[in-house]
Amino acid sequence: MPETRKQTRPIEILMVEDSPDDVELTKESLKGAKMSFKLNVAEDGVEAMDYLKREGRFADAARPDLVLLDLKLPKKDGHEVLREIKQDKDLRRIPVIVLTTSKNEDDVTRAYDEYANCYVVKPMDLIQLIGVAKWLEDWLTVVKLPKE
Amino acid sequence: MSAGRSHGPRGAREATIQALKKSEALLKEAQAIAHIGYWERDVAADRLAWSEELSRILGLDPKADHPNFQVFLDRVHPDDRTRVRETVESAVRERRPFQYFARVVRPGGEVRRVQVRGNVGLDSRGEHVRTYGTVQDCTDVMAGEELLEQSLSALRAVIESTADGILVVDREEKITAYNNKFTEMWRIPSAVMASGDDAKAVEYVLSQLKEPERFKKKVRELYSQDDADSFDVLEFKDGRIFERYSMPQKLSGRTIGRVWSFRDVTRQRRTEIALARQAQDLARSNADLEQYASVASHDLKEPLRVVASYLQLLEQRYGENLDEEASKYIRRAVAGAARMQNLIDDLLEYSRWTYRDKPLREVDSASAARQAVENLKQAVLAGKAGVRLGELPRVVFVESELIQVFQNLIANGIKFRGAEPPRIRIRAERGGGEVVFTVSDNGIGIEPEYFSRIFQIFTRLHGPQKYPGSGVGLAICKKIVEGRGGRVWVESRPGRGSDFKFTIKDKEGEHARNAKTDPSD
Repeated sequence: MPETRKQTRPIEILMVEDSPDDVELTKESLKGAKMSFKLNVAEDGVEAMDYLKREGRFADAARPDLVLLDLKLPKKDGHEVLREIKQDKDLRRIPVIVLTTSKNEDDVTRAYDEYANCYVVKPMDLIQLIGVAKWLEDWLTVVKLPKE
Repeated sequence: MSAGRSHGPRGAREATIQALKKSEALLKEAQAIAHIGYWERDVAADRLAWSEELSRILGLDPKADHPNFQVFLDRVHPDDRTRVRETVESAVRERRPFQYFARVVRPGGEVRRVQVRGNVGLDSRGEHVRTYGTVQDCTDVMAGEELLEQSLSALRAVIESTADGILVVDREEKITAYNNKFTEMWRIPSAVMASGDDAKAVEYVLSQLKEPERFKKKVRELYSQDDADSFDVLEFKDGRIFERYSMPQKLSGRTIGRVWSFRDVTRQRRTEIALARQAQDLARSNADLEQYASVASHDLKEPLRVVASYLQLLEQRYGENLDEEASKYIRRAVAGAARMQNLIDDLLEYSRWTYRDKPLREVDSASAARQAVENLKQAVLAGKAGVRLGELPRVVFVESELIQVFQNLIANGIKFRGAEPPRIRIRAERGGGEVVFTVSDNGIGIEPEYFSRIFQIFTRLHGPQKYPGSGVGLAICKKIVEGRGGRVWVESRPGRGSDFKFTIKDKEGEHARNAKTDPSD
């Protein structure tokens, strides 16, 4: 559970992101964290839903504690994924943090209307990204997540 | 006779005389009402007699002027005299009835028009014993006919002078009138129209239409609804387009036919279609551009972020092995990437202020200006800037856009400050159907040669070290103001500050002026 000292298993993160560079940089930014994370990646919206529903090659996937969701995705975009998660009575409790380059007000409003838990604009460089990773860690030490 | 039995022989004669007198009186009355005079000539006695009414028609005194053919002829208009004499003479010679129209001139000079009818009376041996007939005063009837003739000629001239093709058809679907324009427009040979064969004319019409059946149906419908006015557009096989109007033709409240008018609107329609297409193209190209700018901005930022981030990763990971020079290069590359990100953000911001059909509302420009100052609170405090608002009117605009314009102009004044703390003044003037807003600053001012260039996107007059920013603020002002039909410009002298001015169409101006003449003002 997300209390640093008592952490028995790594925090399962599903990162829905089509850019390997972003995945790499996110991994890099989480390296300095005291908490232990497991970063799982879905490269598009369809894969993300398969992962969450444990379908196909994701049959053995762990239920994520947190979803980091990009909006611009191949096949099925982030807004659709968000809506599907929040309409699914098993998945909707999983906190979804939208992580996107878009500063567009419409995207922000739409995402919250679709019950995003949080909307974060992707930092423009690594230093700032490390800051976001630190914030995420702090946040996880403070919040109480649902059991399942 | 029943009258004889009741009154006896003497009473019967009295009654007969009474009856005769009565009928004579009636005859006189009838002649007077109908303006018909009676005349008779006894050939043997060479004596002419005529009724009182005839005397009156000729303007003669029935008691003083005795009937005589010469007396009559004297009254006939000189120009008609010969014709009258010859008509009568030849009719008598040929022992046949006659009739003619002539003008008579009354002694006072008044001209009347009369119709004279005559019969030649023969005895049992075929000898000409008398001539007799009537003279009718037709002046009033003929005046009416003349009027009618005049209005008919006016009507014909009107029908021919219009650019529309006109056709009048009666209830039996027979053509009763049309103008030349009609046959011209429908290219119906004049022989077809002259023949009066309506079926053939209709065939000509139908053969040219794209949907003849629809037209036929519509026509039949209209004939069943007597009173309907109607309008329709007809498309021709050769591409021409006519507008068709139709109205019932009425006589004393009764529909007796239908008037059809056709107007060739081919050119007008083509222009409309071309304009609509252009507007559509323009809207599409605008939407494309907007989307292009937005997508390009997002997609451009991604790799830029990767470049900056990996450069930083390089420094983090291998910093110990890099000398100071190498670290400086990395920092410069990262700063360059950051500047480009800002440019892209500004481009995105610029494209966001695309003219859209946002609702125009009455906006209090004073509160818009105050909101702009509020949004700039940090810059205002940091720069120790003062913003003073004059009397600002209510205008019809999009509030968010007005706030943005004020905000960019105030920010500009704070940024390009001189040695003194920035002093910014906003005022407005009404007149000439517009409101002119002026945002004045006491900043560094601008050389006149740059007055128009500064409103172009990414135009900078100074290096980024001295005044940061990419030069998008004024471009956005220009885009917003011009998008709403206004103008924006600057008046400035280097070192003396600048007056940025923009206009908004003044829809409430008239109203406001009226309010100002209020005596309590």
